[in-house]
Amino acid sequence: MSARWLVILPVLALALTGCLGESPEERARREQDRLCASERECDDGDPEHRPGQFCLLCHGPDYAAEGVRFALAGTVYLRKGDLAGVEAARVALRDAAGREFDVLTNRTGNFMISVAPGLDQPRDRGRGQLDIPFTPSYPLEVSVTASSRKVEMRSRIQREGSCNACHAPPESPSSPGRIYVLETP
Amino acid sequence: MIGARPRTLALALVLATLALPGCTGDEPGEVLAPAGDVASYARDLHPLLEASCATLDCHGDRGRALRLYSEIGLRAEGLSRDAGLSDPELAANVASLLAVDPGAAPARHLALLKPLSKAEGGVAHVGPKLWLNRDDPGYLCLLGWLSGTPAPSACAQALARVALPPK
Repeated sequence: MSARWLVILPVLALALTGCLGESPEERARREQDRLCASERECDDGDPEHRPGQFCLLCHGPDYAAEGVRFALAGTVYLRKGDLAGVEAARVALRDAAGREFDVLTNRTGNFMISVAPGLDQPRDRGRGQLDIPFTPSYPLEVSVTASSRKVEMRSRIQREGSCNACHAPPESPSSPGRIYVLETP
Repeated sequence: MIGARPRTLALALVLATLALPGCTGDEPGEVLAPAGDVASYARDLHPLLEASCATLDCHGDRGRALRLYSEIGLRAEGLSRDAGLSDPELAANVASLLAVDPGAAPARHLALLKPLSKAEGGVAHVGPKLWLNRDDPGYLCLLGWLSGTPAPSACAQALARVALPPK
């Protein structure tokens, strides 16, 4: 290799590095690798575990700890800034085909929705778990009701089943923060 | 740069300069002013893109092609999430939209073909196929803007189908 290329190639590499950000898929994979270093680490065993984390990283299309796979899942908090989730918040969804279903959060604020094709209608299994007989069609409209207050999500969910993926704390230019229903403490 | 001759250095700098325009940067201030019409984008096209494309799980993500700022999604650094969309954010959206397929003819622009049904000549898109045919008002809205002949009535018609809940 000539001396000329020994100069050109590093300069080009430096210039191009600025273009190579981390894609959402790469970020999710990195987070999954961090959280799911072993099956045991993700197999916490009950629906109340790991509130606030990206549920579908361990229970999604690419990996299903204990065979548990969700179509949609997340965590609801009562107030902005709360560290613990709220129990019995109602998460109501309507998919692009007009099908409506809803689920109540469990004691850590978690909810999780799985597809169970053999059912005639949605089945609430308690502790934040709902089975629905169809794969929801995107986009989805969502509302959350807790403490007699209903909040409609202004944007629609276009593809992400882990609500906490977009609703990751803290509030920032790239995140609205946790899912909460009351603005004030 | 041991042993490098001035001509080599000049060549390296030219190549680096050519490589850099592919980077759109993360912040509006880093983006060169685009040739697109920001005013008609803001008025006609942005509300449609905000409702159907700019969510945080799609194009409201810094790591995704066609990165879009919006009031309900990604914001530029330093802006409150409750603030109205700023002029630099709008200009950055226009730059991002044009950068999807620089120099392409409007009817062949990737931003137009990706949401279009494959049966109508659309191309692969991880997100949804928003338009079943080329008569779809959303398609006509974007085509009009790319062509420099805004189609506000098509945009309004398309927006009516995907309007977001009020603030």
